[in-house]
Amino acid sequence: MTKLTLRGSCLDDGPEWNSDVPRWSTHDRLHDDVFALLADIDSQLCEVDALRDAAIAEVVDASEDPIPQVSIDRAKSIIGQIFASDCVLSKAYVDEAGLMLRWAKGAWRFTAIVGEESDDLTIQAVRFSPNIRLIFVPDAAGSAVAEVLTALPRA
Amino acid sequence: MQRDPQSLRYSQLFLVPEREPNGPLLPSDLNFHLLRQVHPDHLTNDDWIDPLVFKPNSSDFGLASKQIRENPVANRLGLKPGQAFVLYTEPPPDGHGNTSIGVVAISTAAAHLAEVPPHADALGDDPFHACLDWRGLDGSSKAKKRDRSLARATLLDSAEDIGRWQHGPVVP
Repeated sequence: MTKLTLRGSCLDDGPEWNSDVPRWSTHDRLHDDVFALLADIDSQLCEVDALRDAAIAEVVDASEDPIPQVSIDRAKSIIGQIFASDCVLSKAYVDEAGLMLRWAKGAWRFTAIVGEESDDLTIQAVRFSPNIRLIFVPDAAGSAVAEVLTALPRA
Repeated sequence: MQRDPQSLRYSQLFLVPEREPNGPLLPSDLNFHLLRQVHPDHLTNDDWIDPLVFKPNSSDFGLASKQIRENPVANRLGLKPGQAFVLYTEPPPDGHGNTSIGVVAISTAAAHLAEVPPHADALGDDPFHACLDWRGLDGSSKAKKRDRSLARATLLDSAEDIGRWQHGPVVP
């Protein structure tokens, strides 16, 4: 079974972009944004219960290892639902990482990279306000990793 | 800046001197726009652009050129898209004599999201020059290719969000 891992990071008040530092336990504002974000995705894409529940469990237990897991099959299921619903593919092209599929839904813009391997699937979701980016991506071991990169606008 | 130790640096690949941006990191701001010239090779059949327009070229050594857009509301000095186009395309001494069919804009917030930090980068004849630092995404690994592809997609999203063409396209 492949797995998804959820990680978090944010732009702090300083100038450095700390993309690798989990900050769930120290940024209440980030927690709030993540909840709002997941609720938004949930309402728009439906069927993200596992991801949402995993994230909620992770945030609640932020002092422990912040790596909840759900399956890549779930991510694929989401993709299938996107293109089976009223989402319209806006652009398809090939970039160095593979076939790129782009679409938009509400305030969100999505990009999927479909690679050669059966599990080679990356999904990025971006919303420019409030500056949030999510990446669902397989890791080097063949497991699937979902990274949540959250950049908060400066106060 | 963390780099893939297995990768060649841009300066090694293209035998050009590496340098640092001339100015500070720009803040993450949806209303802070950077202008990008579009080469005709990057025009697509739907009169929009190929995301590779955001790819640094061999002479950029990882610092992809942009120009700061003026914003009178924010009291920010810069260029209007038309001015940037003239500066880029007019032959010397009025401009740089390069080829462009138009100008798009991205926000510094998008650049931060894409993990290509935007910097002020004033040059002698271009005081509003800026750059996106792609060196953090340098490398030949699959993960780095993915990150670069997603970064370009994020910048394309921003250009669309801002309203696509800010000047042109002027199809030859």
